[in-house]
Amino acid sequence: MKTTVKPMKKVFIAGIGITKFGKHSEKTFRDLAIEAAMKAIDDAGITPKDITELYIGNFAQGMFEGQTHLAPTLYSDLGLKRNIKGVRVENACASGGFALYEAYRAIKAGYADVVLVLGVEKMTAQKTPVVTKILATAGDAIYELPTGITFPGYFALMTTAYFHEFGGSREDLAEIAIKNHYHASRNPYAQYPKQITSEDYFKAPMIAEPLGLYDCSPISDGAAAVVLMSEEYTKNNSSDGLVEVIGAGASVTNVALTERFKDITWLEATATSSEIAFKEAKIERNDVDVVELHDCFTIAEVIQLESLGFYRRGEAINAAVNGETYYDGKLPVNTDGGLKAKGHPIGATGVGMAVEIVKQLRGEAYNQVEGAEIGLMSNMGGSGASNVVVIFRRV
Amino acid sequence: MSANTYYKGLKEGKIVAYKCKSCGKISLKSIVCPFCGSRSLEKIEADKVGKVIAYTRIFVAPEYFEDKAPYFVVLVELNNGLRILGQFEGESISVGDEVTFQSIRETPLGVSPVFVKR
Repeated sequence: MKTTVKPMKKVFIAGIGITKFGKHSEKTFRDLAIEAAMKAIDDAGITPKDITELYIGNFAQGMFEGQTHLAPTLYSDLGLKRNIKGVRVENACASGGFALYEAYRAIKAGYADVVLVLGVEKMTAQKTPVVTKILATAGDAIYELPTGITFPGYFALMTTAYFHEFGGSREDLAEIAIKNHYHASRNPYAQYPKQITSEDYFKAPMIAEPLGLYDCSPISDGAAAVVLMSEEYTKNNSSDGLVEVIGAGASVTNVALTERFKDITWLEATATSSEIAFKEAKIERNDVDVVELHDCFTIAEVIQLESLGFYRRGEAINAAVNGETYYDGKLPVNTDGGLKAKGHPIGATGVGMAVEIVKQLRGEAYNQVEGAEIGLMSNMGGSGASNVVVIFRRV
Repeated sequence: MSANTYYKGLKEGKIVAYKCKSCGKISLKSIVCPFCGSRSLEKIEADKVGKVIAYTRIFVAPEYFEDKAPYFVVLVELNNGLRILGQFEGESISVGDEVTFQSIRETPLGVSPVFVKR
């Protein structure tokens, strides 16, 4: 007997919310999560009782602050209706993006009509060596961490390999930091809303050679939220500013940098997830008007751009130098300041990318890309072992 | 997992690894090949000599390593194709330099090989 396959449903983002990223000494991670969630719920024009599934993006609140079991914990704070589905999604720095991805699939498959995706991390309560150790646990704890490798260290390894293979210098990386700080200087929600100069970049201390302080995203607190809706639900509820999710892809590969299938300057999970997302969205690279990608370190912006297929290998190192990735350039990248200058509260990062893309497609961004219709986000975990790509279109 | 075998080997001056009988690649994994998924693996001793694929010098160190900073971490491709991370002891290092496994460094996080220039 032939089984009937139900058609996949269309998915829309109806509401967005974000806190300022930075150091929030007086607030708990729960306070931050509530602030972002309520903004998104209000923006969507619904009440908490309308939500039927809850996806939390969070990396390591258990290690940062001793709280796990986050879906019930945050459920307790949000005034949701009784006994809904909730789960925390964790894929290191891609936790927020994967939470969004799972929520998207829940609606697409017809399991839910209104879903809240909430990314949050509070990191600044711990001292830097402890944060460094916790972040490093996203690498291979058995075979790699005993070397004293750090997260900046992983990306520094990619940098020396990239420079050796393709050329490039710290002067080129500086231009990426300068560009992202320029974008952040116009975004009051950014952790570092200030411009930097080449002199600032070169005067700053080394973190993991050849990466210095201004190559690295900061330690941050923050939260971001989006409300997703099925097409049927949007028809019955007047919602302004809808943005459609037209494609998404996700991929994981071997966690150890030593066990990648290609060389370490190619992000295979990023490439795979983007191939899937573009195929689903039925668009081409040159249809994309604005990109939010995972610049946890300046070099990551380079190899993300190449692995996503926007630049040929060895060529994205010049993108910021040539001004191409500024908000008024030919491929605007990280118009909110990126992880580098907007901040990187791990679990919130992927959801924050979605917030910025929605703002761009609504025409509400601080660095508005003129006439933006299609936006793409790429959220990466660890040293590139996991990645989500989501593509959005203005309705 | 084979962490104990790997750490124990390093302490005895050996890099214990596994050769996949299916795809021929060498890894540190004793049960399932991380490259092809085969469960047919043969225990071997890897070469101690290899080339630096990438390097970094860590200035901001994690817990247990703070007193050693700055220190080098290298990604080495050993002559039989196994890629591993280790520390490097020496004045300077470049991609392509030949290094050899010389000693170990042990912390509460585990055991790391230490390479020197050949």
